[in-house]
Amino acid sequence: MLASVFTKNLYDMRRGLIWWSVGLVLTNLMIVLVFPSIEESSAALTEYMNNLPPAMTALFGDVQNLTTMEGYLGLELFGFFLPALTLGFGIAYGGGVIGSEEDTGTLDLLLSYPISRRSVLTQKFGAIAVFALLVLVTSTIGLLLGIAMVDSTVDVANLAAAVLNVGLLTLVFGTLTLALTGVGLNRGAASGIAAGLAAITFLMNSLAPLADLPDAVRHITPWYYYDASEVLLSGFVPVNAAVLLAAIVILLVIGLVGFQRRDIAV
Amino acid sequence: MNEAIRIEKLTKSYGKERGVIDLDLVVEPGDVFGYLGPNGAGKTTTIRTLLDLIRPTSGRCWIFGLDCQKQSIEVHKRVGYVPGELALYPKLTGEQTVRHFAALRGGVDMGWVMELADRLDFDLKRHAKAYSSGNKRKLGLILALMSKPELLLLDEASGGLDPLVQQELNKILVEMREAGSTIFFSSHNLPEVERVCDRVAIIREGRLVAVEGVDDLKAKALRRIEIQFERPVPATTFEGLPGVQDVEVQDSRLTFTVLGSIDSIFKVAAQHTVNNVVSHEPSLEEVFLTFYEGGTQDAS
Repeated sequence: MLASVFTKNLYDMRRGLIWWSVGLVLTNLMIVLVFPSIEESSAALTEYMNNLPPAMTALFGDVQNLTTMEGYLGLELFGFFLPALTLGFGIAYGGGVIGSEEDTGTLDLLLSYPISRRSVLTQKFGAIAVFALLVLVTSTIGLLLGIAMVDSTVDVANLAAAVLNVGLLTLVFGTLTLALTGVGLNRGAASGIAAGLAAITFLMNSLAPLADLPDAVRHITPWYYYDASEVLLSGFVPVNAAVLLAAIVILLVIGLVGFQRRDIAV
Repeated sequence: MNEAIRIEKLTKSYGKERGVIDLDLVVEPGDVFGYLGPNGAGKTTTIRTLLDLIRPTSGRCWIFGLDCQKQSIEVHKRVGYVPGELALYPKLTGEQTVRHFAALRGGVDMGWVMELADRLDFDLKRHAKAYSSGNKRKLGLILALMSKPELLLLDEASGGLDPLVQQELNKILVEMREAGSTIFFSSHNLPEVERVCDRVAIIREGRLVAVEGVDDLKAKALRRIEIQFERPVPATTFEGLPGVQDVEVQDSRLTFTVLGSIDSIFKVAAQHTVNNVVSHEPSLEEVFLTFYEGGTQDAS
């Protein structure tokens, strides 16, 4: 497990992998198991939600869809809750790629070995991508189990596409944090900025239509391309996923270039 | 260009903070080279620049003719490094740490690792977070020595080691040198550098002050000596002797500073009854103040 920087980092994350998987499986199960009672009372809920101010419905999504599993998951899980959680580890680990080793000072020793900064960074990024993949696959299996338990069904292809988007969105903000540490910010500042941007862009995307802001405002937020709720209902949108992927690549390159040029702190 | 280390006009500044200024230095292959200076003089800055961990503001450096910045990977293959502020992965055991870093070198002779651990009296089985600072330093040394590098960069490497281990380390360094390695040894401790090194560069406030053979440095050694006689001895007895300065008499105790050989002093002192002798090694600062105040010499 210690033969490369990539495997060492996965090895370091093994406990996190278990806890995040368990946590997300439980979260997914809990949300799915509530579905039958929501389904029953959906008429009353719809009426209630229709009386809420439009700003609230804009934030929480369209309640009309609560009667189907896809609509329910899109609203309750993929709309905010799940990505908010996965962004948590994305930002934490993204900030740690350079940040934690630089803070503790092990980066000095590591980079004195015959391994390039680019290789260190990409291997660590790869470890996070694999981590995200494993956590999301495990939690999706939990989700499918829950759906079977409540005798419901879901379009598996759409679900897979939505989960893929969660992974991409997580990596966008994780790589943003990585890029910020790459250009020289410390871990705390980078994580704070990334988390702040995640929240601001979420609000921009949700509230732009209400605030009469031009649609272009939404198009600069990753959440617009993420839109897993819509993917669950209508299927995979390759262009949107490609935009998220491009953002990850661009941020990774910024991180690499910044890291390549700067001094390593002691 | 086959010098082990060549540094030309190296300047590194950190904003207002001092790094190194206009540094020129050459270390020949096979040298055990001391890099002596007080804390904050620029020793670590120099070594980290050689390893491309930080980039020069201006100037260039080479290791075995390879550009330290442009060919850093090639340089790293030939160098073993012990950082001054050594940090290790706390959750890995000593052995796991060795295996991880050995893998990054494409493998090392594990028999040699075991021998090093044995000679430095180091237990590889424990987790790094459980190691004392002395044990961490031993692990750092094993990591640097395990590939039998052509050049060893040791940044204050023997601090925190107990004297026996330090002795064993010195033996290992002698063996490495005999096998052809070059050793670059930074320290703020003059006696330590004198024990280990053949040549010494002295750095102060980011500037190279002198490069000398250790024998020359010893000849310049300044000691404060205190002799307790049975009966009072007049100051004039010692005042005329070579190298003796600042003679003070207090009852039967005589103190003075002496430069270079102390032989003549003992020949004279032996004519009286001596109860006790105390010799104080000079601090680096005292050496600087005495010899290098104001001017800098060319490094060659």
